[in-house]
Amino acid sequence: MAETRIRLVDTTLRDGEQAVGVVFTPWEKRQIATLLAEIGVPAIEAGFPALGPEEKDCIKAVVEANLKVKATQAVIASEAKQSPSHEEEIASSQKPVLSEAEGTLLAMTQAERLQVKGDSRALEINAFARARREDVRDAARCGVHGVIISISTSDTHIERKFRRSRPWVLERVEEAADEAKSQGLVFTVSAEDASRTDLSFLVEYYHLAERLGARMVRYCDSLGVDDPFTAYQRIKLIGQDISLPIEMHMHNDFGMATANVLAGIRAGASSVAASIGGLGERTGNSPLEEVVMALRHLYGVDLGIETRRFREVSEYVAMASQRAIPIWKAIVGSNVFAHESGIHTDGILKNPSNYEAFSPEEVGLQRQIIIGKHSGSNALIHKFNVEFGIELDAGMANRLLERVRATAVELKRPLFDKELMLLYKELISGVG
Amino acid sequence: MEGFKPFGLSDVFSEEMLSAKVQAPVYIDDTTLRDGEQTAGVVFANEEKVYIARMLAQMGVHQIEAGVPAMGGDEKEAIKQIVRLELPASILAWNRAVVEDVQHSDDCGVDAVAISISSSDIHIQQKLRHDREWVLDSIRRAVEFAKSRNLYVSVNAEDASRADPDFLVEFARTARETGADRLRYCDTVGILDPLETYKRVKALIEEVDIPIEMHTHNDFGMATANAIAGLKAGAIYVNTTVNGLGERAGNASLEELVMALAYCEGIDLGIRTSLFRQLSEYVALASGRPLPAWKPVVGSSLFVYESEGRASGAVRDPATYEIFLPDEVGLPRRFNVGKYSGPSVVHQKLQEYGHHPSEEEVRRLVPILRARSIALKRSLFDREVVEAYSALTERRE
Repeated sequence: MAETRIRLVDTTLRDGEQAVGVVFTPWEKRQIATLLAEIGVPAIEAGFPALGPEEKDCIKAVVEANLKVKATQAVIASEAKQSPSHEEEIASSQKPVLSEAEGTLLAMTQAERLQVKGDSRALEINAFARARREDVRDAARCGVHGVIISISTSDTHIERKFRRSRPWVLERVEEAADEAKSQGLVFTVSAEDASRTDLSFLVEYYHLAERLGARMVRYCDSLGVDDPFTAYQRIKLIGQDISLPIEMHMHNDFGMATANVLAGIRAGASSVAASIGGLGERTGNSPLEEVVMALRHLYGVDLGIETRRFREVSEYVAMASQRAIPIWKAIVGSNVFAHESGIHTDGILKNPSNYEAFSPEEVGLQRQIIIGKHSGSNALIHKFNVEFGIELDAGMANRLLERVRATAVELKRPLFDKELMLLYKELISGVG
Repeated sequence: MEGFKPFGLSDVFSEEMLSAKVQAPVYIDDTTLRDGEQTAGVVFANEEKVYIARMLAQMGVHQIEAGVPAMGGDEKEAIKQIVRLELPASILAWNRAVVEDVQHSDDCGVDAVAISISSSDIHIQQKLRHDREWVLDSIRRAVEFAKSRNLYVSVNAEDASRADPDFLVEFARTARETGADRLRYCDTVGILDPLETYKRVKALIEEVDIPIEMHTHNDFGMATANAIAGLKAGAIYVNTTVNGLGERAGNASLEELVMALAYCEGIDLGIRTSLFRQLSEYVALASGRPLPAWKPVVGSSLFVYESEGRASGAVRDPATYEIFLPDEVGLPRRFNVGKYSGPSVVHQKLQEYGHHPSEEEVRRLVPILRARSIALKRSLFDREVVEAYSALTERRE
């Protein structure tokens, strides 16, 4: 596996909860945070404290749980290679120009710095804040480790939403950053609507973040209008001027969130704000499970996440958000390892990698062979042999297949095992 | 993964590639009725197939992939019914690279056929259990037969994304030389990313002079982005499905692709997008797969404003958070009061019901409504908002 440090921050509890109709209770927030820590996600965004006392209670509930990230083998291995002392990190973070190695140190998460001992580290908890002193103070009162300071940087938003000017945006960030520092919080400076922001202003904004002592800048494609090519170009250009780590936060309006995140990483971004199932505003964000699995399988980068629990975590978030997982959801949908069509099933039975990029166990799912309209005779022979202990000859398989197809078309669905057996018995007893 | 070498995370790409834009014309070949129906558990009734075909044609989709005639019986009957409608779209039937399959298609009266066979060694050796030469011979036989019946032919390179690039060129050349009209590049297992897709499709186009069609799967959530990347590289056909219905995690979805082309690439395909929501609902019902509220382009919650950050902008000017108008895809715009709502939404909602609350009233109402939403663990019904307002004003009087 390649040696690359990519940081994950999960925003299910903040951007995820912002999805229309989704409300988590403090207990649910704590459960979700616990699951995320258990599977090895190092950092989360726990909420938006400025919303009010109830939300603050939610965030405090997460903070007070005092969660430890379960470090897996991959993380420990790369940690051993380059674990710097705390002093070294602080010293390096104050240098204006960063070498590559120092950049890596800065990219280390607060959770990593808060390493307790051995393989157990505190889950880094962040709160979201608009670029206002009072929002940052609200965050500090919740006891979080870090704060995401966010404001829109596009002229459209500045002029039409705020009815202000660019200098006003910069002043706001300066004040919020000042507050974060005086509260002792590490902070990320986030550019909302970055994808529609004039690039020179965006760089100016990120430069300011650098001077103010941000540990990272966030690029938000708030409306999901980037495509992977433009995302790559913009991140590359930003990276030429900005030495802080860049975090990708991409929305899915045209179905390209995951592709855009990965394009950003290929262009040099080193952090991803994603959510379970992509839960988030409108069409949501890049799903954490897609980003993690794509990094592992398409780029050979293992983030050390316990992916075998992805289905379980997804199910919990689905229940708490009351948004069922579509059965075809990439990575975790219950149907993504279900095969029915003759050609695919035949290929799967000969070798699963004919039609599967990774094995179902890796994400906590199971392979299913479904018998229905599109089934072929090989699948029938296999199913009867393996599951029912009955040897079908080719002639019988073909006759049975004809009945299976007709019945599936009539019922407009695949067949249950009992129905299959019934058809088989009818056939051998000459009924029907 | 077998037959696959991971992409280099820090590869460098040329400026020319990164600024490539999709060029018109682009043609859509929708395969909801074939790859969509092939999805485990999905069966369309023939009348549903006919209805979907009618809607696709009415919408302006250029070609409809209607099914697999070799399955016989009912399937063949559905395809014949669709052909008889004489829709303003080409009707294509799917085949293995087998002469008898193509004969079944010809029986149905379609004007076009897809002739499909695997192009990767892993499939050739472990699924087909043959060799490359056998694959090329199969293409020749099936294509020659199809051309002798005056059919338009798309040769499908199944599992092209895991094929040896040199063999893929040979595969495409064989198709072209035997008379195929286009080549379908299939990312069968959904393992490409957009930048890799571009490189590979571009390389193929440079070697072989045959129009390319993109067929992408969504296993890592990148089907739409990959389809567009292929178009950027010079492909001119694209295979979509309504709602992305298809094997496993599905295919590139028709509605995402059309809207992304319009708004990210500036290409108008002339599709009647205002029918999108209606068609998506129909396919969702017929396939027994409910449409998620958050589905890109057609999800019911996309133009619902609840959180203050977004709603405050939208109240002033929808362009702050809308790239296209809800009407364009047949959805409504709505304001909802929930946990993340603030003064803008509450004010807007009360106005909708003919109230004119003062700023002070709204300020007092917001925390009450948030607390209510949190207690109920959901957004509030309009009626609940209006009642809370009445209670507030009555108490004062």
